Amino acid sequence: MIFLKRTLPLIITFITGMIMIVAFFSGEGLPSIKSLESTLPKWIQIIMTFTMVLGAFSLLRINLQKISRKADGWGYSLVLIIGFLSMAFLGFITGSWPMFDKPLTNGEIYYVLCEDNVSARPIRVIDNLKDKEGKIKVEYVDDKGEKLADTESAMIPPDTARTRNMSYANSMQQILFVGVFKNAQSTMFSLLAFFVASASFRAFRIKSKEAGLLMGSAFIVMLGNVSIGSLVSQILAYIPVIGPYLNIADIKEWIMTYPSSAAQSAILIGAMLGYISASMKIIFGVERSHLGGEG
Amino acid sequence: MNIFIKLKNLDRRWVFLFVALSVIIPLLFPFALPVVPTKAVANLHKFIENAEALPEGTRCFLSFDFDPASEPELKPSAVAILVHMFRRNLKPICGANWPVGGEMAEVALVEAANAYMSTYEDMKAQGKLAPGCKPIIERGVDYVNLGYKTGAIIHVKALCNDFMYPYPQDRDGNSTAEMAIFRNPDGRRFAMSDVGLIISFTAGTGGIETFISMAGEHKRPMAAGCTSVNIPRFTTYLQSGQLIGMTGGLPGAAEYETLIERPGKGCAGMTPQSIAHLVIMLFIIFGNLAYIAEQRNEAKKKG
Amino acid sequence: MSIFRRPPRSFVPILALILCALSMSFLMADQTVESTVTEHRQGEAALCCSDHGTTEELTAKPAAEAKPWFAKERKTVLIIIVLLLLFVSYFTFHAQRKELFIRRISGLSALEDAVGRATEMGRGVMYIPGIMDMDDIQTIAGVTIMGHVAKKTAEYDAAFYAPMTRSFVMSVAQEIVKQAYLEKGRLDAFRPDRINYLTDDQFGFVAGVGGIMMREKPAACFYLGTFYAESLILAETGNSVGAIQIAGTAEPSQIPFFVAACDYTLIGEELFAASAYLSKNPREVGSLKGQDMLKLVIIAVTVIGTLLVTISETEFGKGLTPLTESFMQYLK
Repeated sequence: MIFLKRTLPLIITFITGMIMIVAFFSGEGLPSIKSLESTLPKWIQIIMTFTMVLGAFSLLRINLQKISRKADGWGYSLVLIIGFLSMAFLGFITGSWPMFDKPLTNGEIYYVLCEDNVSARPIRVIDNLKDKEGKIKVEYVDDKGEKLADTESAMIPPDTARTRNMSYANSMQQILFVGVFKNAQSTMFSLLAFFVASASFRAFRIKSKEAGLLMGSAFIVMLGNVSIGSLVSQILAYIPVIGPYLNIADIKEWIMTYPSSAAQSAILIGAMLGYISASMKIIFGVERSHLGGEG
Repeated sequence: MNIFIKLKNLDRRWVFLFVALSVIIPLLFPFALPVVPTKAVANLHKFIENAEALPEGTRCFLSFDFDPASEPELKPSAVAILVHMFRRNLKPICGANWPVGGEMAEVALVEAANAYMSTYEDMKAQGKLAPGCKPIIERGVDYVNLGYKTGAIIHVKALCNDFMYPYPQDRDGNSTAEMAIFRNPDGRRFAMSDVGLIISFTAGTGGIETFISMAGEHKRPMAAGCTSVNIPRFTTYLQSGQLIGMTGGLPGAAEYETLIERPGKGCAGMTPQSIAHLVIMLFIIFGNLAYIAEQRNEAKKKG
Repeated sequence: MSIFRRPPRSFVPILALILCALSMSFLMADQTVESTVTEHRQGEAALCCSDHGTTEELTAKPAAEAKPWFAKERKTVLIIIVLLLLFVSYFTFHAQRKELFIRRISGLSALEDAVGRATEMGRGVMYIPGIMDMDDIQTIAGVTIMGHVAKKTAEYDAAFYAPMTRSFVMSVAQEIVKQAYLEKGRLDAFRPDRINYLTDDQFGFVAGVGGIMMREKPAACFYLGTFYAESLILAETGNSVGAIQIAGTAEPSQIPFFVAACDYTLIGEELFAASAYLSKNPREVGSLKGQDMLKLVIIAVTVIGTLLVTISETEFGKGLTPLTESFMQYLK
């Protein structure tokens, strides 16, 4: 058991790590080894995809247990399960449509997604034979099947046409994605604006000279990033002698280009060295804590 | 002094309220503030404007590597750059390294195409369009959205090897082999070497840094649009010359809109952003005054 | 099992010399072979170009035959890695004979106090090892420290919450925490349902974690791994429930948010040093010292390069321009 849990993973890590290192430094003279540099990451992507199933089952199991036991907060679990199942169901239905694809029939009414990606408009198939670009000829109709006045026939890819029920499913999925998911993401991201303000108010105290320097730079960068900065610069320009040099935007550019990038680069260099060192330790089996137990 | 000490323990919900008001009020009662373009944005504008660097008809690759959370910051600069490209008769080819990037590209393209076509006559009268510009631009001829492809760096490498191989169809399922935008005058297969400029609108990983790491293979000029928080990270690439220009966050979008004389969401967002920054600075000052007052009180008690 | 067995002391310098010699010969061999072949072909062309075609046709052939085995454009990377390996090897063996000093990292020293505080208050501990998958080194560093924190919570009998954004990381974390509880003889206290997967979506995850924080009100929160835009939301929510917060990431754009909002922050490589710091394992401490040596080399190269470039820009430094150009060319 120890061999399977600890020794075998170490051996596999070492072998694959060395292969990737050799592939990274190989030249064109070793094409079969060089190709591993792009092949192995694809294998990793495939393996990672299987783990998504693991996570989904774990999520469902835990929340269903909470609902069945009516544990504290089981209402949230119910909302989660409903959202999870509806998005999954709609996604499977709309995504697997090509599997049930039947040839389109002349004269029948189908639906295509409009430019807003939510609503669908009805069309009638005039000629279901594909042209050299793979498109079929259709005309736009109203809900009763009457040809719309002042519209011409159009050429569309046949797999964009859906039956009535499938177009409803498509629209529902888009409503949930565009109307709920996208807006929820934007809402969560917008919380940052409020939290930056409260974090700044709470944390930015001039307790030392360095903190004072930080505060001054922060004010200059905040002003320089927005239009108010140029107004402030115009006012400061009236100061005799040094006024013309007090352009907030220019000072902000200098701060961002030199001290700030230098500090970022320094942190990155340190972090990258840490990355390389940690990777080497994992490849050579020095670091084993991620396997559980004593390192 | 006691007021300042009370301020120290101010409930953070008051801070949230003031920040919300500082954004809502300028949106309800808008007023314009001057926008001065910075060097990074001006360089990008100059490069796209330069007929020698990017002659009419040049295809440019735009990678939309962001999600709806970053859309308010990156979409305005994407639309501004697309409008500028349409006015210069350049042909944007849009792709994505992020799963919803294809949708982001679609929304930006539709908005930019409508903006270009609705102002065509005015711009033509003012002489601000390239000679070859048409009143109506078509998908597949003047622009295309290829959608999202997985793989990030592997995808970019595949583009460098054979641009058309990962994209037999565009996002809508139309065959790319038949598209006029990919046709070369000499009949050659479209390749990365035909791309005049690569721009990535990046919210995080898998964006412009992926293209920069492959620079040795594609050797194309690159530019970026990034969120404000990533500006320091990408400034190093500007300094080293790996990026020819960059639009940083909403201010970058506002600067680009000013340069192309088409105020949009970027310029409209500058006023609320300015007021919000001032409010945050005021709160920081109040917090420090409270801190100083507290220190003085403690010193008095000890003394 | 460790890949390295303990070699004799004299082995290290000999190994260093051999590796350096091999690297240099590998780098030089390619050029020598190509230039020799090209010269030979040019020589042949000079004698018989009238019979066998033009000089250009003949000299063009070597490029197709002599494909290099080594990617020359990556030679600088190889040198850095070889140097790092040498330093790490040397100090790893050195550390086994003599204790090496690591400066105090306040965030890691406060780890035990944070867990103790949570126990005293009767509240739990929350741990988030970043939002990326196990292929990210920061996540591995995060789950490594998680093992140490889990041992403390097992010892002090504090509740341990660890919501995850990747199912693979969840499996690894469950295994590590279970092992930690087993070592402390508290397997009965291990609750796998508290180490759960929420969602892959960044903001969906932070919304879920925010909810858990508001309901469970942990007294100590640890954010150690890769974070992006959600970092400040996590930190502020943790602050609002009164938790002591220890954060660590190597993402430069998120470090300022953690510094502003958290009580302790591990910056950049301090996150990777945590494992050595907490375990005091001689091998890990030695590798940390080796890493620091390479940083000294990089600092020296940076200073030399800066001086060369600066001086060669001045009037009296024109003579240094060829040296500066070769130096910069070699670094590329």
